[in-house]
Amino acid sequence: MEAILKLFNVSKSFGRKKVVDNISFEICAGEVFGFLGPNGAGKTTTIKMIMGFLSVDEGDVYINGFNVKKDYEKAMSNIGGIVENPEMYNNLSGLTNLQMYARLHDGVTKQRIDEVVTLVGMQNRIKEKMKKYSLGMKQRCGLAQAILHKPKLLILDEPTNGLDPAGIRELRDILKKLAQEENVAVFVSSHLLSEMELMCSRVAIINNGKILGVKTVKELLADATRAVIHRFMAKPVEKAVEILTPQYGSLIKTITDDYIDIEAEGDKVSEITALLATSGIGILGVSKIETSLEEAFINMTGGGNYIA
Amino acid sequence: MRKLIALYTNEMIKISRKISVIIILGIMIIGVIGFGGLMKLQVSMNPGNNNYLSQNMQFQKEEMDRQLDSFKGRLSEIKQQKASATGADLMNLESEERSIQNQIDKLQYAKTMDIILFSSSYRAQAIEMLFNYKETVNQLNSMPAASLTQEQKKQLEDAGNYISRLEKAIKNKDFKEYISVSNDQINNNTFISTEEKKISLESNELRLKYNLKGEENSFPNSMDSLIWQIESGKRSLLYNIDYTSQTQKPLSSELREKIKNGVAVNVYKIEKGIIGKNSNTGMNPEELAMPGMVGFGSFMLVILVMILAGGSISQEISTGSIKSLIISPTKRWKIFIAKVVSLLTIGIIGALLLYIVAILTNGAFFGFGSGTPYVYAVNGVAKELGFNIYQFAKLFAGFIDIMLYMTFALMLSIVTRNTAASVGISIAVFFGGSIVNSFLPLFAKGEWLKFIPFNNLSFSTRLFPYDTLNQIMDQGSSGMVSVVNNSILFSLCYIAVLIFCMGYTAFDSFNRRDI
Repeated sequence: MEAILKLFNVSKSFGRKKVVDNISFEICAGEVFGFLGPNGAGKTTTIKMIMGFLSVDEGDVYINGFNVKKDYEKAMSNIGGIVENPEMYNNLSGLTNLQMYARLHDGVTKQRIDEVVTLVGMQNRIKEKMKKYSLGMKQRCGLAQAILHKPKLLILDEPTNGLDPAGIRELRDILKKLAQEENVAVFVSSHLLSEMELMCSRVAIINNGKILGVKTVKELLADATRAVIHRFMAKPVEKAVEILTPQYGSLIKTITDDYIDIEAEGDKVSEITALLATSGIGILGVSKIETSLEEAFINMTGGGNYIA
Repeated sequence: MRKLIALYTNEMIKISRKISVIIILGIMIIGVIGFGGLMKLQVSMNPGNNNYLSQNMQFQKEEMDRQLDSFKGRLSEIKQQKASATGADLMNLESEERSIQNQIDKLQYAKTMDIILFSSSYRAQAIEMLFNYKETVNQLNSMPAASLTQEQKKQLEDAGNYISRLEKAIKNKDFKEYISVSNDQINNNTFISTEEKKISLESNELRLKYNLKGEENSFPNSMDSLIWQIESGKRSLLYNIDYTSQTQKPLSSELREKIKNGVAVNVYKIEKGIIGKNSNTGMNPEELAMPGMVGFGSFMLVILVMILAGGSISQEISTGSIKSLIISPTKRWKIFIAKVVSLLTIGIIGALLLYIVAILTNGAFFGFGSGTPYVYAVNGVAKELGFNIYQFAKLFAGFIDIMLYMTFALMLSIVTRNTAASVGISIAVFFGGSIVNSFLPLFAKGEWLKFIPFNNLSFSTRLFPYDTLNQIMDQGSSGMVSVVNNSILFSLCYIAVLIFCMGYTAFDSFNRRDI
C-alpha cells in the first residue's frame, strides 16, 4: 500500500529548543493512525508542520508523494484537517463558510456540500450564523469542511473535544467509514486513550520530540502486558484470601472489600474457581482484567508528571 | 489565477458582512448629508449678504450724514474764526474753508445722486475724482489770473474738461465715459512708465468689456480684487519682482511661471464670469458645502480603511480562522494579494459612494448646475475643468494618502498580529503626525524635513493649486502652512517608495513566519 503521509527525519526547533527531533513514520491509505504523547511532546508541532502552519527545519514531509516544500499546492490539496478547535467566520453561516472553502478547491460541487452536511448531521441548522452554534455543532462543521474536497489524508487534532458521548461515537463511526469505504488515511492525535483504542489500527507514541514506537494497538497492549489478571468477586473476601493464600499467595495482586485480583489465566482460573466454590465461598463473578492502553502508554512514556 | 479570484471573492464576502464596515459607511453618508444640510441652513438663515448688505448700506449712509454734519460744524467754526483773523492765518482759513466746502458739496452731491461714497461702484469713484478736480479748480481760481503759469493754465483747462465729462458720466450712468476719462488720466500721467500705463489700460479694457462696474450690491467686490491681482501679477512679471505676496523677492523661473499662469487664470475667470459669490474670503456656506462634505467623508474613509487593514491578518490569527486559509492549498502570497486587493476595492467603493452622495446632496440643496468649475493654466494658457469632474479628481487625488495609511496599518497588522495595536497606532499617526509635523519647523531645520511623509501628502491640494478655498480648508485642518515645498514628482516617488517598502515588509513577514 502506498504511503499517503511520509515524514522523513523531520526536525523543528523553537529558538534553541529542539521540539521535534528527527522523527520518521508513514501512514497508508485506509488506515486510522493514532498519534499519542504527553503534553509538550511535540504532537501539535508535528501536525502543524504537516499542515503548512510551520516551516520544517530539517527533513521532508511527503503527502501523496508530493513534497510539501517543493509542490506545496499539490501536496496540500490532498489534506483536510482540524487543528485544535475549528474556527470559522462567526458572522457568516455554516453554509457560507463551506462555500468559501469549496471555492478554494477544485471540483467541489454543490451536491458534495449537501452530501457532507448530511453526513455530519447538520442539515437543519447549516444556514444559521456560526456564532449561534454550540461547540459540538462547530466541530461537526469543522469536520464537514475538512472532508469537503475528498482529501486522501485527514488530520485531526483532539477531534472529540466538546462532543457529547453520542457525538463521540458518531465521529468514530464516520472516521471508520471514511477509512474503510473511501480509503482515506486518518491521522488522529488525542488524549482520549479509550477512544484511540477503539478507532486506531496503528499508533505512534511520541515523547520529548522523539518517536518512541510505531505499532498496532494489539502489539502495544501485548508488549505492555506483563501478566493476565483475573478478578474474583468473592464473599466473604477474608475467608477467600485465607483459602487461596497457601497455594496462590504469591499471585495475589490486589485485595479489596469486594474482590481479589490474581495473576492467573486459562486452567488456573478454573482451578481457583473450583477451590473457592468447594470451600463454600460465594462467587459473585470472575472477569479478566485487560491491561489498558493507559497502562501501556504511561509505562512507555515514563509516566512523569512534569512537562517535557 | 482562478485561486486568486476565489480568494478575493471570499475576502469581499467577509468584508461586506462586517458590521463595522456598514456602520462607518453609514456614518459617512449621514455626516455628508448632514453637513450639506447645515450649510444650506446657514444660507437660508442669512438670505444673502443682502441682509448684511442693506444693513451695511444703512450704516454707510448714516456715516455720510455724520461726516456732513461734522464738516458743517467745522465750516461755521471757520466762519467765526475768519471774523477775527488776519494775514497768513486768514489765507489759511480761507483755503481750509474752500476745501471743507468742497467736501460738503461732494457729500451732498452724492446724496442727491443716491450714491454711497465709500463703495467701490464706479460712480462713487467718479464723484471722488470729480470733486478732486473741483478742488484743484477752486484753488487755481483763488489765485490772481495773471499769476498763473502756462502749466497751471493747462491744468485748469484740463480739470474743467474732466469735470464736465465726469458730471455727464455720473448723471447718465455712463460707464463707458467714465472708463474713457480714466484712460485719459492714465495716458496723461507723466509719473508712470509706458509699460505701467499699458497694464492699467488693459485693466480698464477688461472692466469695460465685461461691464465690471463695481455696483453697490456686490460686496465685497470680488471683481475689483481679481483685477488688482491681475495687475500686481503683470507688474511682477514686468519688474521681475514678486509683488503678489508680501515678500517682494526677485522672481525665479518657477515663480515666474506660476504668476503668469495665475494672471491667465484670473483673466479667464473674468471673461467667463466664473466668480464664486465671495471667492476671495471663501467663507460663504454655499462654497464650503462641497469641500466640507468631501473632507468629512474622506476622513471617515481613512478611518474605515485603517480599521479594516489593521485587523485584516491579526484578527484572523486571533480568532483562529486563519487556519482554514492556511490549510487550503494556496500559497501564502496569493492570500496576501487577495487581501490587499480587497482592501483597495473597499476603499474605491467607499470613495465612489462618497462622491455620489456628495454630488447628489450638493445638487439637491444648492442646485445641480451651481458648482463653479476649476480654472487652471498651463504655460500661460487658461483651461477649465467641469465642477463634477474636478470634485472627482480631487477626491481620488486624496486616495493616494489613503493608500499610504492602508499599507501602514496592514504592515502593522501582520508584524504585530495585534488588531488593537495596529489600528491604534495607525490612527495615532494619522492624527498626531500631521499636528506634530506642523510644529516641527519651529524647532528643526534642515534637508531631512523633506523626507517626513506628512510633507509629501495632501495631493488633493497640491495638484489643484488654483483653488484658493482648497488652500484655506487645508490650512484650517492642519493648522499651518507647510514650510517644506517639495515638487509633486518628488512626493509621488517618495510615497511610492514608502508604500513599496511597507508592503514588502508586510508581504515577507506573512510569507515566512510561523503561525
